[in-house]
Amino acid sequence: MPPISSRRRSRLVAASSLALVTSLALAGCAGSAGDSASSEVSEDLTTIRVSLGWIKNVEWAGFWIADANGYYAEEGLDIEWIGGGPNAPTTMATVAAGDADLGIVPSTQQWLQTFADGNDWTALGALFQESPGALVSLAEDPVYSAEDLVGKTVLGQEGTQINYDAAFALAGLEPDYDFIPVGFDIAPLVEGQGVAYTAYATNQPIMLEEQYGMSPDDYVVTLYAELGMPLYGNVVYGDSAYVEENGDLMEAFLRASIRGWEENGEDFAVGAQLSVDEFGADLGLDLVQQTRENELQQPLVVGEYGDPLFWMDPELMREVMYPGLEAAGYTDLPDPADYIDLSYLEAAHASLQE
Amino acid sequence: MSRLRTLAMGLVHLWPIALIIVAWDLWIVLNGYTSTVAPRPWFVIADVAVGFGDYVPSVLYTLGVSLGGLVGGTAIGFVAGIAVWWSAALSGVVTPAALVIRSVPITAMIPIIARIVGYGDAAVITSTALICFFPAFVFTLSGLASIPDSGRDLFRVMGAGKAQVLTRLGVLHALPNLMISVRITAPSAVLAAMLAEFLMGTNGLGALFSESRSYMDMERAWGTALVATVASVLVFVGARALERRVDARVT
Repeated sequence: MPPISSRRRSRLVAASSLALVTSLALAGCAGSAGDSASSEVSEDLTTIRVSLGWIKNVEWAGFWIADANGYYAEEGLDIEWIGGGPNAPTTMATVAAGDADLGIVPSTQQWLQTFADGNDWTALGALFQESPGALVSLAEDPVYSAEDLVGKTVLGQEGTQINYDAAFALAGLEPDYDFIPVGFDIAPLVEGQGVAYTAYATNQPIMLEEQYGMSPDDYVVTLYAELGMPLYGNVVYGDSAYVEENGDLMEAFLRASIRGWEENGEDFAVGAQLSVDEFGADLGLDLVQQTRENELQQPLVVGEYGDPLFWMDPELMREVMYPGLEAAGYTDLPDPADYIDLSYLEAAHASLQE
Repeated sequence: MSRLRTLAMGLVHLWPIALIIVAWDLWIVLNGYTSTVAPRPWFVIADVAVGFGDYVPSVLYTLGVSLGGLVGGTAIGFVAGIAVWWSAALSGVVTPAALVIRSVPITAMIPIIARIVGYGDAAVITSTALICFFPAFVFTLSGLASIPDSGRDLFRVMGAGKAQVLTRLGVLHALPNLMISVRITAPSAVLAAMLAEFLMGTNGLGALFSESRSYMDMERAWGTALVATVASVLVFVGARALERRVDARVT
């Protein structure tokens, strides 16, 4: 070890002082967790910061409609929408760090995993009565069940292997497939690199129609629900303490959101237009694609259970959805009755009936 | 005794790292963050220590790919540099291609690479090689350009052809430069390999990171980042040692 020159020593000292100062600054800047920053805006509106689990596209159409029509303002709310995306932090991280008040998480199973980390969440409701998660395959080599996957090569985003494993387990089969991670591009499926591709039923099939000129008869969409894994999606949640302290705001937020989503079912172009021109203006979205996506997603928002919008049924979760998750290897699932609080949603629906 | 002292001195110089770890822990504790935001360093270190066996295959895979890409990219860069030096016609072909490879971000090229060579290992190695190619190309070229005129004149007078000038004189001048490029690109090779694994690999540290994130296993995700950092540093140190040895041989 050669002796350290004085110049190098001073550099070391400088670097480490910098690290120390930075860390102190970090510690100083960040507020303590759990304090909701409901800042007052000019017109005495209360701000709610909502972390979205995907980019600001038509997936949130009903919220855009409620926002653009002033339904939130009517409730005295100003919503700050925080967009997400494939490589953005999870909504759980954003809410847990105190950078957002509410989160809307696409992957319910991912969200359930974060209870074990000491987070105390309360779910207010779920936007998707049925998660759009699905396997897409081509009609010439269709995949309707796990039996169709045995010994085959399958495609998807890294981390979706768990869905294939679960499909096999639920069918009483040993997982037997080769997985290739290909990201969000469905081209490898068209090129025949694999027989199935993990997708959102509301998204990638449109690519097949638009880019490859396929008709809905040329491809097969098998929802995870059909593979034995029904699940709510886009769960609206917040830190339990925040939700309890701001019950009126929660009810108001849900009331305005329900109005927006009801209206979204009347004309799919409206929400798509808002996504393209306003809320997702810098994303370069395509109006035709967004309209079609909206048309495909609304049935999942309404659902087949006959429940009101945003409904979550704890018993249905425990009896019907949890077995699918357990088959996928998820353990220590918290009891739905412990984290679902529908009182705000019930109050919102009741007030809209009047 | 003196050896012990040297060791102790070496440890003392690691104090900035200790400081970063303490600052990291303070940031979490003072803000009351759950591990969803960021896990505490002790748990991450414990995960690496206890689950080291789980990390080993990924580390070896990533190091293997990095090395393969580094050697491949350096070799291609070396040959391309010689080609440009050799003839103006070749230069007209190689130089623009090299500049294109250099200026397009690797992230944008990965899907294209995957289409050409197929997804999986081949795409990961190709991406890594492309990252390592350009510095090797430039340094080789500058080494060949620095052949002293007097030396070349002497060779010419003795009746040496272009090939002999290259093999007996040019390569000697280009090698130290090539080794600089190896040292510079070695850590980038690890980074490139991890990026490609993260986006489309099934093995390696990048894939492990992506997988841990999707299962919300934050200790493992941060542990992967920690292991990757250590691996990059070790690769850099190894490359520097190699450079010194080669320089000692040729100069």
